Amino acid sequence: MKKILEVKNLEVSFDTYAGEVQAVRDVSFDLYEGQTLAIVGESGSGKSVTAKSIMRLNPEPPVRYKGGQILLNGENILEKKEKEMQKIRGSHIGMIFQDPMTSLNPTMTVGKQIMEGLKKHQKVKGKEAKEIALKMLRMVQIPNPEKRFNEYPHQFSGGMRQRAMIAIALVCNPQILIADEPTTALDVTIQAQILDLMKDLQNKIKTSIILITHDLGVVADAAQRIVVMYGGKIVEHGTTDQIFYESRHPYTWGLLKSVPRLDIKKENSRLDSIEGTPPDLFSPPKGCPFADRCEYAMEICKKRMPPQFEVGKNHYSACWLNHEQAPKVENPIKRA
Amino acid sequence: MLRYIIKRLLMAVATLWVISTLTFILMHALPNDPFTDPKLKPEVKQALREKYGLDKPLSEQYVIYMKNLIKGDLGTSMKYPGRSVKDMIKTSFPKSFSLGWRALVIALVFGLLLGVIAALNHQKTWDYLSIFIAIIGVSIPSIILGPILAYFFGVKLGWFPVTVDKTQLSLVLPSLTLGLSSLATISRLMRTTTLEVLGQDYISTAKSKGLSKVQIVWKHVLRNAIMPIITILGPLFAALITGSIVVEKIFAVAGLGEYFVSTIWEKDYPMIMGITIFYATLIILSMLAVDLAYGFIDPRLRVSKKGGK
Amino acid sequence: MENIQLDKNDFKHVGKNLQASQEIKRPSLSYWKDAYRRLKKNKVAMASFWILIILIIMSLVGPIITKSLYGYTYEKQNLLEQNQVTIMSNARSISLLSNDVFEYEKYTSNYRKTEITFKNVKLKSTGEISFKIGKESEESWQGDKKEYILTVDVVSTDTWSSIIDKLNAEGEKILADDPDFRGISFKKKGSSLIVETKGEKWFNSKHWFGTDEFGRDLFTRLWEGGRISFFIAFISVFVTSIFGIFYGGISGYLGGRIDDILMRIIEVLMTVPDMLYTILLLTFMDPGIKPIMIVLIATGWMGTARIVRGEVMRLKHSEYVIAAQTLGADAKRIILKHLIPNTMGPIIVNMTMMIPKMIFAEAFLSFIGLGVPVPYASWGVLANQGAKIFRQFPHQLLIPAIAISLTMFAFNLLGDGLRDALDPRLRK
Repeated sequence: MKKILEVKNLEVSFDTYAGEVQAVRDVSFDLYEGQTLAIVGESGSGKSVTAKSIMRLNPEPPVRYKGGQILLNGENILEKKEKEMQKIRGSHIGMIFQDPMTSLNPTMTVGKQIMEGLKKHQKVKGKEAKEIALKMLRMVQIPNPEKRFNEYPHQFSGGMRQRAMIAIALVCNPQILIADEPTTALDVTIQAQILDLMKDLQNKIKTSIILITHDLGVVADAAQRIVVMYGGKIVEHGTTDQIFYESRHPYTWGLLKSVPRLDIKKENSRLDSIEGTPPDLFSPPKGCPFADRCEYAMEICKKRMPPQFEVGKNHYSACWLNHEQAPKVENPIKRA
Repeated sequence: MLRYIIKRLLMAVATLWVISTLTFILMHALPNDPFTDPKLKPEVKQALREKYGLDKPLSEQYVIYMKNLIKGDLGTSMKYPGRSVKDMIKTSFPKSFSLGWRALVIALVFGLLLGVIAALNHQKTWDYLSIFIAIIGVSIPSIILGPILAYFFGVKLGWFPVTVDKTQLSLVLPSLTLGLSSLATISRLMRTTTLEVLGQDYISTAKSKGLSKVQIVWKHVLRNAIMPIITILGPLFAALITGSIVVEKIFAVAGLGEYFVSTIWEKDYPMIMGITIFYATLIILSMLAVDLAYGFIDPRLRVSKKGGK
Repeated sequence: MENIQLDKNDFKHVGKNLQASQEIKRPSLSYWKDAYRRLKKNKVAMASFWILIILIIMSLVGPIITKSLYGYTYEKQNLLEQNQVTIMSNARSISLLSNDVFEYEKYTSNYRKTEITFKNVKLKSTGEISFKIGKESEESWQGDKKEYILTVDVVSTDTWSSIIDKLNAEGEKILADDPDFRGISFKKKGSSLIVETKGEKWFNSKHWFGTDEFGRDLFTRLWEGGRISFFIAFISVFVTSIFGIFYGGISGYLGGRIDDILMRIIEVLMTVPDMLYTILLLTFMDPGIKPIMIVLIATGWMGTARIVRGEVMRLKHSEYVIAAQTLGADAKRIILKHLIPNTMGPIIVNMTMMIPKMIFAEAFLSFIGLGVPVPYASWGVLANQGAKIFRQFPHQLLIPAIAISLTMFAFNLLGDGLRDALDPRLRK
């Protein structure tokens, strides 16, 4: 499989009035053609900042890219000028956002908003552009596309708007689609439809997808690989199966326990939550960011940042429990 | 949409009625009869009362007054018999108007520009300049700004005439004096709305499509940021009208505003009322126009007013 | 990492430390404390605050100072000391009496005519140039009524430089005869001829800000005016706010039909600018401080009422008030514990922003002759008087103008600062 995107040791920070916030620390992952990679974490884990860095959509300043590389087809995005970025955005990478209610311009017809990227990148005009836009509307399964083309976003329902957003993001056939919590603001039934649509479209047009979510349940059958982020760092990284069934990190265990699942047997039927709150990234702890909330925490966890232990084939976990001297702890989650 | 228009129209008519009735009540309820001058002989007083219909019962006076108003008759002067409010407005209002629209254009063009430039350069030199102008605009009232502009640009530098004559050049200083506070208000509001729009998700969407900064500002920011400005055009117009009262006095414009001030000094009550009602009508109509325009321009209102869908 | 020595103790189990994880690294503050902290950090707002304090204190003590030192009051006239300025000079006034010799552009002299600049001068023929220095009809700054005439004859052989020499020599001659004259100088700069009478300059220790056309002390009148303007503004804003809070509070709290009616009334009243009502109402009243306040109150409460109603409406439907209601808190408790503290912020900001509006309204009304009657000295009255003779004596407008603008400036900036400090939505 061809490697399209490579994120290497990415370091991103915000300069605020009170000092530097280290939002992303030493993050690395790869994205392959036609693959879906999920980045999972709670709010403030740095997942959205990471995604926006790929598009260079974070406002600079206050955001600063302190280190690392983001290689798209071998070229470093972090070194691109704004003009060059504009050629990449929309044509090589498309993006959809969390809240379809606010991510469409309320005073422009949906049709026009779809054609905008097309006109910019592919230099098609008039009728031809409209034809392609209508094709997109049909592709994202919006009924009555000729009529919908001339309507404004407020005439669309939430799910419809997200479909329109997908049409906007995919209109130039980008290599990568970044979906930043695409289903969070939607009803559960609509969520499934949107995810199905994305999977369906991926099969059709072979786009790679980066799916950002806080909900492990969403990614179970959508993603091939999963990156789990916490406190601006990657804590575990592996295939979907590895993360779900062979996880080697207590934070992932906590996440898994908080997802209602039918295929996993648990000692009691209560849904668990992870107690406590994520660390303040103003002054990130010296050791493992999860240590304070971890029931398996050891002395070393507070003192030293755990390295990425390779715990399986292409499966990494940043937890001291994987050290040879550490006490053996069983994964509390077992396959049914 | 039709319902919306009718509702707005009814509202405007009701407001006009309330204002003219209030004016009528004020004129008659207060102890200061226009003819209380002790030097006037009782017979003369009586004659004057009859002439102006003040001897009739109040209800009858009210009916006559309202009838006249509907016909567009705003009354006649007490100090200068034979001079009607309508004539006065006809001769002097065009001068005020030529001042007013210039001030409005100055305020809109420079206010919008300054506001957008400030927001796009948030917390940089341009932004601070626009904040500074906005604060100057609200802190230096026209009664001070006018004479100072007249002194420096008129007397000291001699660039512009200090009183208004037939030349275009002579309208520069009064229009500027009149427009500055509105310019400040507009630039301040435009800065806020533009900043707000720039923070919206759909701007991220536009950016993610690869649009350039110019395209984003032109196609996505401006239209959405200008919307709220339309709503303050009504009050702005009102501010220009009251503002022109003093500006005309400072620059000797011989417009309706200056005339209004002199009628106040002469305590020419029917004139004062007539002009007040004229001003009020003007403002209400302009607000109505703005409301209707907004209904047409904003697609969200346009459709929801059709009744759902 | 492999070469780091780790021992067994490093892997001792310690478990969760939830307290540490929930420890907030930034200090937590109450609403008012946090607002105060934010306001204190805002240098512009704090500077505005102190400027206002100084202006208010000066308004209170200013008239007392001059009264105890010199016995001035705001209405005490002294026709011998008309139109004085802060920096006095005993240079005598000067005017061109006759001129056969040169052409010049219409000139603008400064207000006391101790200096005249003739622009674009051109020699045209021979004859006499004559200046009058000092005036017999007016007492000069040093207390005499002397008048001097300076005349030179220009002949055909004269050039500009010889004419200037002649003029200066004539000046020297008059000075030699009478030292009270103080001297005069003629200069040619490019195509301009500058004539200037000499004299010493000194600070006007009797009238720090000069005097007006009736010889009334402007320092005294300025601060007396401050008293009146601040008094009108503070009282009007206070009363309008009380009324607005009640009206808006009732409207918002009760809601429904009553709210509809109350708000419709405001909508109708607000359509027409308050300045029009104010003018209309005032024409029927005798001029005075009380009528102005009544009228400003009568026309100013609508904005406050709207803001309060909006806030109350917003809060009424907010989760925490609904939560308090479901927990069984009664109306009194909800109003006292939730609505009032949470609406105070916007109300205080609104009050701060209303004060400059009131000061402006008073100045506006005084300017068109409906305001405070003479001989009272509100800032509007002072500005109005100053504007009339602005071209001759600019300081008489500039002094109240600076006071008014500085006050409005400071209140607006303080209001902005307060809004930033009190708006919890901006808290980060």
